[in-house]
Amino acid sequence: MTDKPFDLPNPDPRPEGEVEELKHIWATPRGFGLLTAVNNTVIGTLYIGAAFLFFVLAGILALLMRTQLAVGDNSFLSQDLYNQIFTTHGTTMMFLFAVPAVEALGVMLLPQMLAARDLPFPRLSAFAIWAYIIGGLVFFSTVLYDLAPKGGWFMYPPLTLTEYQPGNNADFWLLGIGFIEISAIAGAIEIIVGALRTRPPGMTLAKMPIFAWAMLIFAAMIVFAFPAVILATMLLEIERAFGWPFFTAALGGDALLWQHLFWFFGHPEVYIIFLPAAGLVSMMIPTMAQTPLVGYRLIVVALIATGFFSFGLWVHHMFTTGIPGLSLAFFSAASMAVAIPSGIQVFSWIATMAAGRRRFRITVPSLFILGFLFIFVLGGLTGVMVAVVPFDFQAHDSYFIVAHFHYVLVGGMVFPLFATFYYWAPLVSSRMLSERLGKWAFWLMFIGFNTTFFPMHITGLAGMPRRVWTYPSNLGWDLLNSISTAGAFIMAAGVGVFIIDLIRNFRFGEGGPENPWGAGTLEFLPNDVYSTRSIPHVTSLEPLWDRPGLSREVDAGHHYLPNAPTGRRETLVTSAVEAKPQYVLQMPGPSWTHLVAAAGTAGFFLLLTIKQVPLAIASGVLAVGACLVWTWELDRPSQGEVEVAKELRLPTYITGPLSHSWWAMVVLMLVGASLYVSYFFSYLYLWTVSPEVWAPAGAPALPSLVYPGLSAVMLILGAGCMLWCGRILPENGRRHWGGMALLVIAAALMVGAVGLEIWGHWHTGLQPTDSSYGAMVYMASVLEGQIAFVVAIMCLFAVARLLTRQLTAQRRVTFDNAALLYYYAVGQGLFGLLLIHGFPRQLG
Amino acid sequence: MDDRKSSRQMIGTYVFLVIGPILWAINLTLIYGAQSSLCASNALPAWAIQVLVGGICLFLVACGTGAMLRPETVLAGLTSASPPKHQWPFLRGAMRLLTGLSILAMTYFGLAALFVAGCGSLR
Repeated sequence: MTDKPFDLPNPDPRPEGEVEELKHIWATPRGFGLLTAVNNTVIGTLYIGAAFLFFVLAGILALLMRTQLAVGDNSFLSQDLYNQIFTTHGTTMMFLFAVPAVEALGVMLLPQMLAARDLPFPRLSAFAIWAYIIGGLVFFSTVLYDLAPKGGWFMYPPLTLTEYQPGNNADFWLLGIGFIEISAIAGAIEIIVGALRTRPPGMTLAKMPIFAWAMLIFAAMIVFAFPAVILATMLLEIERAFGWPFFTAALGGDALLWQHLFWFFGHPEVYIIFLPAAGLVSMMIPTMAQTPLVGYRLIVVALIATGFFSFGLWVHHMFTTGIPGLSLAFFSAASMAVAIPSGIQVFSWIATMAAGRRRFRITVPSLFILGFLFIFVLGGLTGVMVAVVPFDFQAHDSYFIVAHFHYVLVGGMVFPLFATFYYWAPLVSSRMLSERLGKWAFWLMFIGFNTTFFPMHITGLAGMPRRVWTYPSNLGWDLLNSISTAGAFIMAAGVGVFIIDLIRNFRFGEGGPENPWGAGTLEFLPNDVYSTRSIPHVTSLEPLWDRPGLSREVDAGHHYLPNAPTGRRETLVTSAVEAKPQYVLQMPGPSWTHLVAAAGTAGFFLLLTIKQVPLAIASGVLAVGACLVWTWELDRPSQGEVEVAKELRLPTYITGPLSHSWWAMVVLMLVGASLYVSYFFSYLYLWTVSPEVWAPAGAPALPSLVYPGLSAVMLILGAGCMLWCGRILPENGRRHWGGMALLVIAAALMVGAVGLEIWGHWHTGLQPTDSSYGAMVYMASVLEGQIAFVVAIMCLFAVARLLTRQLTAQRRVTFDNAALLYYYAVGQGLFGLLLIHGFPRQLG
Repeated sequence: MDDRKSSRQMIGTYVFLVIGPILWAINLTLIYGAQSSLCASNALPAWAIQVLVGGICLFLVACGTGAMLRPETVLAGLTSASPPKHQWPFLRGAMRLLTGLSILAMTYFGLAALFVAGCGSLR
């Protein structure tokens, strides 16, 4: 689909010096200053490098495990060490490699594919990356000090409760991973707003690159899936630390609650990993076949459908836990239904290759893609097998499952990732990777992978359970296990060849060959530190194929924003559907603040794990302080309207529903809502399991309705204060004491409402350690208290902006964001009061 | 253009695109939530639960079918605007395909209500 010809946005020759100015403004800091860099190519490469490092480290752990399992009755590793290695391998692969790697590709490639100067919140990306690197390294290193968790990457209670796992090992997992998930959510917010609002003019939804669609859906899935596991980790850590019995059956808890919350995240996680990889494949195949993707709309539909359906599959991990048969039937049906959109994609890829078969080039990326198709389809087929409930009952917890999910995850993500390394390396490296070494790497990995994991199907069907340290050598499993171990080392050799290729050929920097594969998409436009010289007007899905002169036009500055009219970093923000230019976003540059914030946040969580509470608090204060300095620098005043094209002038400051920060705040509220919905589910779930501990019969009488009534009034009054304050913000930059007073009162009312709610329950004698009911009641206040804390800080921050005359009726993004979150907190608080005080009364 | 109207159009268009999967998600939430709670509390006989599940599925399938037949009306309801001219074939086609897939999935689930006991367990 190609639009009609158009006039160049900037047809006249550009004045000299613009390129030099862009280079100066977007220059990457050198030396130690490199740590402060926020450019997507720099931090994206760092992000991918860190993820790859974790892949290698977790792979080494896999080799140790395979060595232990090579023969029966082996004692190469002790049982305890094996459990630590096995847990760290799974956790690292899932949380420190797979999700970060695809998020890293989003951070690095998305702005290039959208020809944006950068994603809209570059410091947020940098924060997420540093938080992940610091947290990830500390977490991984626990395996070296006998401090690694031992409960498997799924950490099922009751095995992971203090009674069965004393010490800090499990806490490292709970706090470390919870923290890394927060980093993933930060990245997801960035990607959503980036894909929706920084597309180039003309790039409507029907012309968005498939990878952008995939990343949009990936990030949306993170927003809805990750809060469930964040809540789960909070509940388990609180039970371990303070004895609130969410998972202890004797006090009305239920270990299966963990499984529900974990798999509500865990199953979408598989697709969170797979969809971006599928998006990458959809970008590479048309280039290799030199023909447009067959069934673009079908692939978009398949991506969206997979994203949704993946949320209806979590119970298929729990088929054997005694769930009602009718529910099993629903989840079995959903597990099979998800094969339809996955199949659509596979057929589209095959059709594209068939359409361009005369031109299809067998390069290293092509080989990895073909390997991916073979392996992923096999994994998908065994997935349909285990979706059949009776078969699952037989295969559950056996090596068949290990084979299945490695076929899906390695086939669905690792092979496309290696194709990506070879295909997109020229964007950040001045040299291409070697075709010869790449082919060696592929064949070793492909043969090694299948030698490792195919026999596991048979081992599993022969009855070998998964998660075992060793096995008796007289059960007929030895030979198959030995073959698997040999395959693992062959695969490792393939990865080793790739590392040699990287060392020999990867050189970070510009000057790589321009569009070496003959691709049709924007990331292969001439690039520099500022991305493209001008932001192109897009008229088709493959603009470089359909407009052969586009590279020259863009490089000559004939498209949008060919310069830096505000003299700072900036990019173009467009509308989310039609991609019409709306305003010029002033972006932040390099800074230490995000790095200090990341280190402080990591320190807070990790010091808390080893019970160094004062140090943890100090670290948390440091993180909050750094965040405040960071945000203080963001809300720059308007520079008036600037020219981005001939006869097109755009504002440089926008607030309200059109602004990118409003969209980010809405996404953040969706994260909060997802977390609270998970809590709501948990509350009702524990009630269905143990109604006997619930009020009014099984617990102290509820507090008088005066308490929740007063809390509700305080919340509503607080919202009124915010509303009023928004109306009286000063027109000119004068200090407005009334506005400041309203903000302080609003913050106090919010905190007071939470305090009153806690006091009301405490007053009745209800303790959070009494039963799962007590724990759930106080947990509502914990969740509301968290958000109240953030809202209070934001209100006080707005007070400081008013005090320094930086908050006015026009320059008000700081206030609008605080108000938006305040209203959300009020809504959540009122719902919580209704649940905690209304539901038990309804029962009684 | 009014900010809020523009923002509503943007968000409304995305919701329009995924209206079918949203119906599917409602279906799953209602059925899984309601069935488990009702079974746990013995509030209804098993046959009534089967009827309830089937009824929910039928209603949501009907909503989805209606959306597929009258996409302009759905979009207008969500955005208070006429369809974007250049993108309408893409948006309408993708929305219909997604809704069709969702109807298939809901029907697939719903069939279980005909064959499986309302609250029976396999173990």
